[in-house]
Amino acid sequence: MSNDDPSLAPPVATVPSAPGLARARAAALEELRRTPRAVSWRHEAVTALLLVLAATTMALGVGAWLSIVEVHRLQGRWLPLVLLVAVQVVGVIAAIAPGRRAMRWSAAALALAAAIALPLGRGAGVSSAMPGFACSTSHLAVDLVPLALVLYFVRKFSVTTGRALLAGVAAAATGAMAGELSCGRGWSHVLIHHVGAGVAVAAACVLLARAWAPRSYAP
Amino acid sequence: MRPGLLPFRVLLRYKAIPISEPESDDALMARFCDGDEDAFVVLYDRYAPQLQVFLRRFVRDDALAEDLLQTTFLSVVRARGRYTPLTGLRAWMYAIAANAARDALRRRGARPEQSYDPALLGDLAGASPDADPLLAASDPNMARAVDEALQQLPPDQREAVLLHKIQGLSFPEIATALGTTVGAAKVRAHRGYQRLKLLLAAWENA
Repeated sequence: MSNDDPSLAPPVATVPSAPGLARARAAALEELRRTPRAVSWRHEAVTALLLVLAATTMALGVGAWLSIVEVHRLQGRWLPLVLLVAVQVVGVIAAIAPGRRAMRWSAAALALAAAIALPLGRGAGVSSAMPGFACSTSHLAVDLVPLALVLYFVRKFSVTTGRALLAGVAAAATGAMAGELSCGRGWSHVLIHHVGAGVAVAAACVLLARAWAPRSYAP
Repeated sequence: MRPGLLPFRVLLRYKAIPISEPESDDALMARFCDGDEDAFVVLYDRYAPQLQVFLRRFVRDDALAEDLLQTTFLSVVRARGRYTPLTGLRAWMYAIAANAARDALRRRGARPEQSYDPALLGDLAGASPDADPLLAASDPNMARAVDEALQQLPPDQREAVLLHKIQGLSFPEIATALGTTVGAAKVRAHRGYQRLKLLLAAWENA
């Protein structure tokens, strides 16, 4: 047994003799005939990113139309919002791209920075008669479409816990952006009901990604 | 043009490739990504027998291993756009097989092994002593003892030992297949060998 390049070895056999080998080959060839052109991971990542960004824009647009999202808040909160957009962009790409350990660590660091920056940027905030869980519930509801989108894409390969977590964080960034533009309460509320809801979405993404068998086991 | 000389352009286009030289994995993979069935069949014949042996040893369930081989190659077809030449095709295919096997064992949970006959490994197409050193062992009892000892290793160490010693992968390839670093792959294999040594010493004494 050697560790030489196997590509230099001649093919073992032209027609597999064992029934298991023949069956697997026939199934794979049938699948190949169904999808003759390969879709590159870059294409998948860009498609996923555009769809998630479109879902975010639509959620914020509907929120503004319903007067829940207040566009004037953009002025004071542009820094956390830029951070959240970066989390979404890098998170989606890092979750889908094969390899790229450094990119995944960068996405995780960005997510951590956003989780710290969101409550820090609030201070005491303003009081509100609305119960705190109204924000958590809205956060979860707004995240549903991006969550479904990232789950659809990460199920196409063998997703690890880290990748699923990043995909979930990217989906949760939508709700966090909506929260930044609609809620004026203090840091403790943001930590519990906004960051907490984001953590719940990321955890749900991990659980759902592990519960469903993927379409392929490619790394 | 002077008589007797080939034009320079023709010379540039000419590639002296002997007919017997096999096409490289990456060249075949590029054709396979464009939907070339012949390229896929060559890759399949090159790797399927060794992956079949690996899966049988890994899950110790002949029926499950057959299903997993099919799952592995369906994954190869579906996710071929995720392959990057830097990874190396052999390591990439083993990564897919190991992921599928791990997931199947996790979903099966504590259910007992179904049917596993190590002797069957010798009957597999392509499972020659070259493909599996345990088949080449002169003492069948020893081969069976090694096989049993391998099953007593923790899963991560068993994977590393199987891939290194039985399947003949290099440590960088093992690291890719297991989704870890080269150093961690070496540590897993080293611990596995230490434990195997103890288990086989006990078998010898018995």
